[in-house]
Amino acid sequence: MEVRNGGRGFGLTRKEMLAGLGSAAAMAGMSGSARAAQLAQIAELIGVDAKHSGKGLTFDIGMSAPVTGPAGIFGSHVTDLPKLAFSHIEAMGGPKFNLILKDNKSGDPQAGVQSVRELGFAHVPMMLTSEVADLAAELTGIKQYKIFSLDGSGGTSLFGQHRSYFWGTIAITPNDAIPGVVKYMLKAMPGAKKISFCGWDLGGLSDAVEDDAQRYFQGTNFVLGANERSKMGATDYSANIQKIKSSDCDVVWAIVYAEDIGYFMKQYSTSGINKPVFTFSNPVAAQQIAGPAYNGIYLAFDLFDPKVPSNPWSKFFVDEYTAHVSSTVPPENYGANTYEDTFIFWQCIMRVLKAGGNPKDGVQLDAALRKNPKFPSLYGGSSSAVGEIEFDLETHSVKHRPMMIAQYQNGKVEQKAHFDIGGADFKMLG
Amino acid sequence: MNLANFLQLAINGISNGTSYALIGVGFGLILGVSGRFHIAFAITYTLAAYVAAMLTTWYGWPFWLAVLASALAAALLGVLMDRLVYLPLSLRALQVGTDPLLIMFVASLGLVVIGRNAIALAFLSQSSMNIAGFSNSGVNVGPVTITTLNMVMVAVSWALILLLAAVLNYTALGRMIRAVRANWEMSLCIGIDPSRIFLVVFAIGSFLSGVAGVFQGTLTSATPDMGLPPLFYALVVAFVAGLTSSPIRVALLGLALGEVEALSSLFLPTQFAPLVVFAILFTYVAMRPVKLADLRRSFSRRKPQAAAG
Repeated sequence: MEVRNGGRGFGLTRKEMLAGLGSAAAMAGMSGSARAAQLAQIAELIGVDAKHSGKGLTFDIGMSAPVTGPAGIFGSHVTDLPKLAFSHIEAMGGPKFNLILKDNKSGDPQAGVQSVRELGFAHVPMMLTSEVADLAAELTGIKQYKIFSLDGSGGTSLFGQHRSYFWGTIAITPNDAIPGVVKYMLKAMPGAKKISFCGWDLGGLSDAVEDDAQRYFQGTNFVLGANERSKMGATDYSANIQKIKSSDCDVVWAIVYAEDIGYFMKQYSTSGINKPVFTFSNPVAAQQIAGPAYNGIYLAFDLFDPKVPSNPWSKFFVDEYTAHVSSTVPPENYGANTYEDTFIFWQCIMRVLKAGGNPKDGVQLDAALRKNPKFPSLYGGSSSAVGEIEFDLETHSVKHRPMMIAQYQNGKVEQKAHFDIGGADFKMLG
Repeated sequence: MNLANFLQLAINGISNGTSYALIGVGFGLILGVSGRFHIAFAITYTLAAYVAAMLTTWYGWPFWLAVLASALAAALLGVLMDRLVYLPLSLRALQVGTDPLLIMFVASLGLVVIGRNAIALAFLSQSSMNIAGFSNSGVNVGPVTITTLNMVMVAVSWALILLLAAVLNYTALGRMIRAVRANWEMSLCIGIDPSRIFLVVFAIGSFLSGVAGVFQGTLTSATPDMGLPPLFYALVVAFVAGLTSSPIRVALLGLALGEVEALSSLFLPTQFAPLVVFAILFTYVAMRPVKLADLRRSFSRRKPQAAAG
């Protein structure tokens, strides 16, 4: 007997599913029937193809993450997510995965190059990478060794687009959020006129951010005030902040990431400036560094709300994350993306198997994505259907992504507006 | 030029420069007296910040007690480094007739690598730690804002620098330190044990690095890599001021360096400010080339006849 998934035609035998779910439930140490039912529902919703699920196979999957260095807290967090996905995939009747973890040392290009080289030598067909493939250092190796790669923490950005075998599963930061932020400021901050930037100095990429912002400022009263740049990993922003202060701006955009935004806010809070600050990520490490100084900051990035999961799969993910990964740090979009990316690999494996190909070939996995760039997603969806992630075959980034503007206050995030990439479907909340 | 900008940057320069002064004095004292090229100074700086973070956040110690304990921990680590690593290597080098300069440098580099990674491993689950217990806030004085942390840091740092200068100039211990700095072999003749003086300067220098590290950790947070950038400033300050200069002269140079760096932001993009410091060192070295023989003589102190010659 097969559990069919509507019109997709994928199926999973009840026997296979129950066998897998039973082992997963035992592993989780929780009520077997409840969890098994949930897993069965998810398997059906995401369209598991039991005949080509890869059961019995074992796949090596590489991961290049910032295990050590300034972003180490992020790395130690996200490396748990593929393992969670592996257990779910296996429980759903899928293959086994063997994670080969490499440390990119938080954006160290040499470490990134070495990581991808080692994964290439090991003939790893697929790889989870981060920070735009370690700030592009890994892209050459990904192409050379034909490793089908997904990046859920940095995406493609602008400099990682159109690159062979490399796909981003997060909105481009900050460019995809800029139109939404501009729309929000127009509605919520009508008196604001001058916006000052403080961003990482990434050369042409920083110029592209400025150009994008200026493009969206056209037709509004917004003008650019100070345009400060800092080096990645900076901890002293006193000079930048002084220049922002002297620009007499109404709003600040802090286009720095990882822990840097924490250092920025820590100094900003004692600088005598009380203008609102927007930033484009929400790293836990930054919250910890800044402490109370983080209060009031506006966040503009992908909307993954663990408190209000948007579909049954994301709810299951949040529950499982809380039970097995961390009960204190809530799951955020980076973790959700990494988990989801592992399922995208599985979907591609099933497609290749169905087509009679070799699922341990990165080229064929990549081709499977190109043939149909739509996959089930934790984002969006409804109470009865999972969401959908669709890749842009031109840019290799996501075509759509629920995004939000939110405000941080004492560990809580209050959502202020929702929108899609490019400010589409913008909606104020409350 | 905007006056408010100038004043604020000058204030920022005082706080940054004071930090450079403190670490420059500590590093310079160790280098000038013992001849150890102690770049593991970065580790005592970092360790103190982590100790303070642990004491204040995990055990709820009062901030100032944690500062003292952390600086003492840094001093102890510095002493242990000299006793367990530098001294045996130095004696071995003397036995085999090898120049200890490079050996000390490599050993110290090894300590940096080990120390940095040990701290990173010990705190793997958290890439940074905050130091609690100090309520930092901005105080507006006309067009400029001064933070309470910076005011306290400047006051404490200069108090320590002046105290050290007084100790060196007016106490028996200070005279012994200066004697060893001038010529440790000759100091033996008047009953001074240089190895004990080395321990003292390692303790003092590391203590100062610990205080600087705790203040920096309070301003930002404690991270495994936090000691490396200040080391660069300490090197510049110690070299440009001179290895036998008084702490006050070294500190004033550190202060000037901070001011130049901060005020350079008036004319240069902010991210280029550290390059100004490098340019100062480059210019100094270009104008006053350091002879390798002088360095060896200064660091190894094992060829008095060459020094005399």
